[in-house]
Amino acid sequence: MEIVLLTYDLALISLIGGLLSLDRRAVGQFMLTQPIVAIGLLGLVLGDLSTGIALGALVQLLFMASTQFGANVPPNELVAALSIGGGVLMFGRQEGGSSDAVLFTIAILAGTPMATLGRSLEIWLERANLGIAHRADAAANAGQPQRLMVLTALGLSRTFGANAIIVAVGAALVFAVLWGTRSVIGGVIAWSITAMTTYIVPALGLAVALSLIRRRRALALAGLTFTIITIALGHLE
Amino acid sequence: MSKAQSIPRSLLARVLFRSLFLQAATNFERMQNVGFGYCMAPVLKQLYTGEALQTAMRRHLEFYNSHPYMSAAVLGASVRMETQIAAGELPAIRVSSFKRSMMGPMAAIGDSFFWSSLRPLSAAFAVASALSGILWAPLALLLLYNLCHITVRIWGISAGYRMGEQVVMEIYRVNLPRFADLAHYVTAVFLGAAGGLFVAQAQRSKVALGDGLEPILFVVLCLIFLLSLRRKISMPRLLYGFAAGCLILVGVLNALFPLL
Repeated sequence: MEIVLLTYDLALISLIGGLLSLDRRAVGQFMLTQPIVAIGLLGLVLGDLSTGIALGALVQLLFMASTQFGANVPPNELVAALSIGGGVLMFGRQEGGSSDAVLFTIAILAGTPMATLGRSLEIWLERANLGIAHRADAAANAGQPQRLMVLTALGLSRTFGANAIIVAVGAALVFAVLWGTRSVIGGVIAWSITAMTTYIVPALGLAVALSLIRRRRALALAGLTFTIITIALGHLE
Repeated sequence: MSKAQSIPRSLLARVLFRSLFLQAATNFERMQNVGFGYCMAPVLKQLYTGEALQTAMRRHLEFYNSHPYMSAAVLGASVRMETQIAAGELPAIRVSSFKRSMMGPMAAIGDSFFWSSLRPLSAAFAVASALSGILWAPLALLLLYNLCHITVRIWGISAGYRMGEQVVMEIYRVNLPRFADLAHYVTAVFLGAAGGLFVAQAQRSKVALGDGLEPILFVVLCLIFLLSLRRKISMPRLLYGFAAGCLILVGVLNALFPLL
């Protein structure tokens, strides 16, 4: 294992995680935190775009239902995505190849709980921001609107720092799991995990995405499109 | 009573830029209040001094919670109303009651159109594109989504400032939720296409079943998962449950009929 390369990669993933976390809620919400975008970006930066996109597509579907409605705090798909993507891409850089189907499922299984941890972090940040709200009141009573800029920056820096740390921890954890299991997995276990990556994970992801559609005719349309594409691609081959 | 001051475009542009930070310091007590106050600050500094400035700031640090994109219209209208309040044309309480009455409807419109419709549509398009081998699929997601997002923000601020309280009529006239239905159908098409592409990948993989069984297995799994999700069984439970089940099943089958 090349420790220097690993440390460099982890620092980069942490920095990207901190920056992207701002987009999730605090700044803009330009959808940079969508797993296919976030893992794709990681793949671009770490030199394996195709793996980033392929893995990002799977994770995107699995976390499609993670939407923030009002005051509700859903599981944090960005923390999960960067933990999963970061772990796989770091492993690839160490081993010189990372698009194996076995890796994807192990990483997804190891990294999914990070979404719950990320959610707890967000709730903690919202509680911590109460102090900022009270300081904003003091600024209003003093007639100093310019202090609101400092308080806003404080909120942003907390979000950045906390998420940078948790993403680094998550990516390191997923990498450790991949590294620890790479020589153990073989034979029937490898076949099972490949089958999971090929059938179970995509089917589950599609089901999550389809569960967001509440129109029966739209679901029927999805089935029709599926049938047409399957037949068409079958004939092409 | 003096005439309401006109706010220069550059100042409105500052409010628009600051609207990106509406949720920077979200807290459980008053939600987006700090962000809202931050957005309004440059305008309040222009309009008021001394105690009037303090009172105006306190008005915009009250509880506020709504959709971040649709809040641009609320901000634009609040700017307009503050110019009228500063000129004595409106009582101060009007802007607070306007914000309170707009929060819920703007959240409902934004959630239904952006979070429930446009985001899944863009994501489904990006996934289907990625499975087709298009590496710029994420860019397509960002372009498709943010074209609408930024248009709504810019339009919101300018329409809100132009029309004040009447902006609510214009928002209802645009009727974003009617596009939500269409978005669901288009999303369904992209998801169906993604399913077909997954099956094609399965048929080329090491774990291909042959005899056209892949699409059948895929559909059966999808239906089981969909029904389970509708019964509120969470994605992680299904993931870990089926992962364990798959390992056990393959292990047992291999023990009985050794092939691997």
